[in-house]
Amino acid sequence: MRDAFLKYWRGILLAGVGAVATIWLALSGQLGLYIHPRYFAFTAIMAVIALVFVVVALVLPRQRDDGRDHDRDHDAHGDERENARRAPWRGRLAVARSAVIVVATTAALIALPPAALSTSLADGRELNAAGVVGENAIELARADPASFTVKDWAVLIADGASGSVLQEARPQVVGFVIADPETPETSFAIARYVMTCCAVDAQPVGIRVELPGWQERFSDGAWVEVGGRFAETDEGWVLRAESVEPVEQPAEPYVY
Amino acid sequence: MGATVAPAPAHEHRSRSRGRFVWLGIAGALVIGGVAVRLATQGGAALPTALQDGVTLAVSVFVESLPFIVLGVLLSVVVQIWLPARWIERALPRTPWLRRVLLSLLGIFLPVCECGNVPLARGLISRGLSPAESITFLLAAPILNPVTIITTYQAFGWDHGILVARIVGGFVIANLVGWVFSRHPSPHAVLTPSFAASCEARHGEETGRRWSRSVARFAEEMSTLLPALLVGCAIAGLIQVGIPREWLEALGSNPLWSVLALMALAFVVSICSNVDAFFMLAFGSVFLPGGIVAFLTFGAMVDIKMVALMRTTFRTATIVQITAIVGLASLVLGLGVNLLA
Repeated sequence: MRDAFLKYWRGILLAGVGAVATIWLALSGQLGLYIHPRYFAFTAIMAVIALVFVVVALVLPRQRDDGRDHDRDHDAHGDERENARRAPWRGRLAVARSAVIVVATTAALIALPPAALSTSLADGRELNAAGVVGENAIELARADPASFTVKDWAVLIADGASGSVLQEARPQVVGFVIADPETPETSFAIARYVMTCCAVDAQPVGIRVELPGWQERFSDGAWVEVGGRFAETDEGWVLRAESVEPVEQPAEPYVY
Repeated sequence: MGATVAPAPAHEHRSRSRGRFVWLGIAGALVIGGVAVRLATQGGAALPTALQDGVTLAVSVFVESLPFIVLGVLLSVVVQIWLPARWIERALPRTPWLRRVLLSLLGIFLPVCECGNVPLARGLISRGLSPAESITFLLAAPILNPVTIITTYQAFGWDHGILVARIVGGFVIANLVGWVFSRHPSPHAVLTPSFAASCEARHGEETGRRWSRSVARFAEEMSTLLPALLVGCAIAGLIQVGIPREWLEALGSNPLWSVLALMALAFVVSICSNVDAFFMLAFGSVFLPGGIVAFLTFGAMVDIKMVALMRTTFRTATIVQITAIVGLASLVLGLGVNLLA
């Protein structure tokens, strides 16, 4: 049973847990917490295929490798199985390690609720480094600004040529607060993470908001909705806040 | 290793079938137990922020990689069980270097990320390709594939020769490593003993129905690859919470240190080659182009996740050698770009 676990069943268990977790995330609309929407279909299809293999392996009799299992011959499944035969304690260790991986994977993927990255990670990452590059500001300038995210506004500001659009705009944006290191008393950045592939590459993208004494109302990292008007200053465009309300973290906290 | 097969006695059949239901029970218990814990702890105390971020990052790398691993294993199963061995031999030329060149272009037809290439590389070795040829494919495919090339172009265009340096560099480095390993006096010594033995054992194996053999091979490959992938994801996730990125970014504008720092970053973040160009845009303003090229070539070939996956197939010494050659070559490439750009 030990050999069967290391060689065969731990893969089935891990693939099963991974597939179930992925399908659950897809069905509950939370896959976007971990990966970019362009991968949703591919990820879900592959998870279903994996689950079919897992169910077939669990339900149908197992195909043996031409008796090689009986003969205690070599096979593909790691030096740990070799070691297990030479020294029993190593075998127990290999089983224990794999069992820990299976349980930890189940805990991380199924037992723990899905979570977005915390806003505290944004402090160590440069604002507007990624995400505002490569976007087409001209197309954006023609679009309806009512649905613009902080990223769209950041693109228009970075573009530099959209002054008239910015001057007329009445932006209303949701994001989290990052204290402005240069003028912490009077302004902060309202930001969202932009994701290009998965949460690992999340980079904060945002715009500067001017609101003296903001720290008395909310803390660094809090989610807020800001409305106001853009104004051009020596440091570039800032959003002069007319209304700022604390809000819950959105169900889709990232922008793409 | 052509073992003779004796029919299994009846009592063994009974115990096998009992064993199967034990695993069905364990699988069910895991999933139901996990769901029960989730529902029971809803609204309860959350994990500490840093740990939760580490878990989120690790889960994110895993969710992103799993479909590519599944696809890679399926392709590997097709190569090993459904494709006639002669077909591969007939399709490839006989001249060793030309075979490696062609294999390094195989990624054009398989635009999957690097982790999906590991099971396929294992399948190719198991089907009779030499380890050197398989390593050439493994290193080249993440870079020489249409998705990577398009995203790199979208991110950088023709600026500073980054795109050209990445494509040409990736091709040359992969073939260089392939050539070095082709000189090995006993090629299969670069593989882990158990994998080398299993390849030999499989040469004569043609019995059993293809479908049930496919399911068995799927389970075996998953058993080998998934624990390695999960450990790699956990390390990659937690290390990013532990090491502030500013440390690496601080080294950005020095011609030498920018290259080394970005190679270290590439190793740590373990990001897919298909999209790493967009990630790198984040540092485009901070780092010199040579550093970016080194990131884009080194990171596509070697990173924490890949090392964990490669350990299933290659000896530690082999992985150290691959990492050293790829690292040195990427460093030279990066410094060269910094000199010219």
